[in-house]
Amino acid sequence: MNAPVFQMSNVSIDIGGPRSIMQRIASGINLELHRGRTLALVGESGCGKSVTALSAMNLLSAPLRVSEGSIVLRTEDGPQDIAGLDPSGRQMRAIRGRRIAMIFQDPMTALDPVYTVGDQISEGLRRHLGLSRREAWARAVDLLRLVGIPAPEERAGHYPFQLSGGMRQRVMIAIAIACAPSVLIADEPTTALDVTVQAQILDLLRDLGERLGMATLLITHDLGVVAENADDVIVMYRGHVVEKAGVGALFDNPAHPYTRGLMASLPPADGRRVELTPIPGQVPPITEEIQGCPFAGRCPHVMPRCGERMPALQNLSPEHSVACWLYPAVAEAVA
Amino acid sequence: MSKKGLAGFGILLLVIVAAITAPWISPFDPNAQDIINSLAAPMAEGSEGGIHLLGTDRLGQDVMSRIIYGTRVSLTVAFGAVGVSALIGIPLGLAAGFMSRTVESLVLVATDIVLSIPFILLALVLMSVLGASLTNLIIAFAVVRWAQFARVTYSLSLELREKEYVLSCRAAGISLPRTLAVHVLPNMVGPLMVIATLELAYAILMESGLSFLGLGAPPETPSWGGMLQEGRNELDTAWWLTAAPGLAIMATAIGYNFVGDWIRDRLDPRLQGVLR
Repeated sequence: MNAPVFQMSNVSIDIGGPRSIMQRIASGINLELHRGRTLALVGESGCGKSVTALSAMNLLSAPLRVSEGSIVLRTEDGPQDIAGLDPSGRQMRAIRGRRIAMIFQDPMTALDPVYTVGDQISEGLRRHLGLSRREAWARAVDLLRLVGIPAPEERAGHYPFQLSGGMRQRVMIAIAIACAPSVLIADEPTTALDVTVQAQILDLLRDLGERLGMATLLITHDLGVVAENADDVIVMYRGHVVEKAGVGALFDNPAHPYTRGLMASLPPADGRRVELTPIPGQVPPITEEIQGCPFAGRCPHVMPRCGERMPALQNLSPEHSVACWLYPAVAEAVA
Repeated sequence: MSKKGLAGFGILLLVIVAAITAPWISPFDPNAQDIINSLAAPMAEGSEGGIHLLGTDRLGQDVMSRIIYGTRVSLTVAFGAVGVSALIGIPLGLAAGFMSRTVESLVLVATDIVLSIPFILLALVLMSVLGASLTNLIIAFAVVRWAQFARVTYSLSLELREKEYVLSCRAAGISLPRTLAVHVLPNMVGPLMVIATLELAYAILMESGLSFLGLGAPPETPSWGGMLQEGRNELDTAWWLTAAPGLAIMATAIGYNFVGDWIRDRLDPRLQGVLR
């Protein structure tokens, strides 16, 4: 496989400032994005998914910050460490929207109500690519067509309130892909949509990613979405990556008790009636200091050493790794 | 459009037209004195012909003409004062909402201090120090009322900065100043317009109040507040000297308020269905 276009290595995110106590809310995050492939980031609310996404664009604002690690973006100009750039500086602004674009959760509030969608797509084109108003508008119409909006010439002149939720999310996608970014981050892009529309939007994202050669980071809590749309999966729990695998390996053989718990709480697709097993308890709040594995309190296989140390991610197979003391590979790596 | 809104716009239109066309529609020169015709009652005939529709004052000046010319002071002060307040207050409110915590606290503390001082007192001090002139009236108003704009803008910012499109502007590589000017401010126009019209009414009352206290427009400029002050002494003999400017002030202030209400109702989506 080629070198990843985007790579986060050992990234930790802290909350807190000079006057309050520092608290680590995510640590040791490693992830790579490859052209034309989709990496899904899965976990419950409060697991650090969105923070990871924001850090990928260097969009964290005080009191959150990246305290360790590197976030490298590879472009034709060579690799560049984003984490080292001034978050509001010119260089970073030239990357956002141009090299890395983001799609937000709620299409109802992510579009500015006072401009037509054509204007909003044009804005990025004019600023990043220097197109004229007329050229940008023509591109905007093409983009609307590309994301599957009927009568794009007419729709470009419409305001967000005139469009349905699914249409607005398509517009968001059009804005995101306008400057042909190499990395697309989709933060729960379908949570606010109807199930039927969800599938269309995800198909569109996947199709565009492959056609335009974008690397996609898909953030979701929906394992169904993961199974359908991802190539690789990272499972996060309370700021830690607990499992990392190809989508096939993960669903065939979930290794971490948390991943298994998530799968057990999902109804089977074949319509069999089975008892669903929820994971007891809740994600501990980020303000709580935790010794050892953060999942220990909810884990059915908890062992004494779980409370002592968080295990590191170790390979079970070349494309499957897990951070859990249950596995000899993990335990041996320490001994 | 509601009847109220229509009435408001009607009044304001009348005032604006009067201010522009004052030299042509005034029956007399507003400063021409006619001592023989001092304190003439409304509808009295002038000594050199013409009818004093609203009577004359102690110096025999035509009240109607002075009311008409008074619209100029009224409009200049109102729009000047509110314009300057908005120009100061809105950027500060945005800065408080979108910049660092330090800026936020500084602006909020400043607004609290300014708004905690009784306005008329501060204005009196400023006017007596600066001297009576229209420019100083505008300054005195802006020194205090920028805080109103800053506060409203700040509270709107708190709401807007949570909107995803503001974050998505950042994610699209748009700079903060541009985001504020192009994507945040236009979304505040409605509520700010309402505040502006209410402030216009307030500015008119302030101008009249300060002129009444002798610290507003210079005496030779026909202004409603000044007329009210001069007429006060003849209250028992020449009621028209206070009634005419008093009604003019009231009508204009009401006009601005009606327009403000109308804009607010128009922009409030919850009231949309009811009104149409």
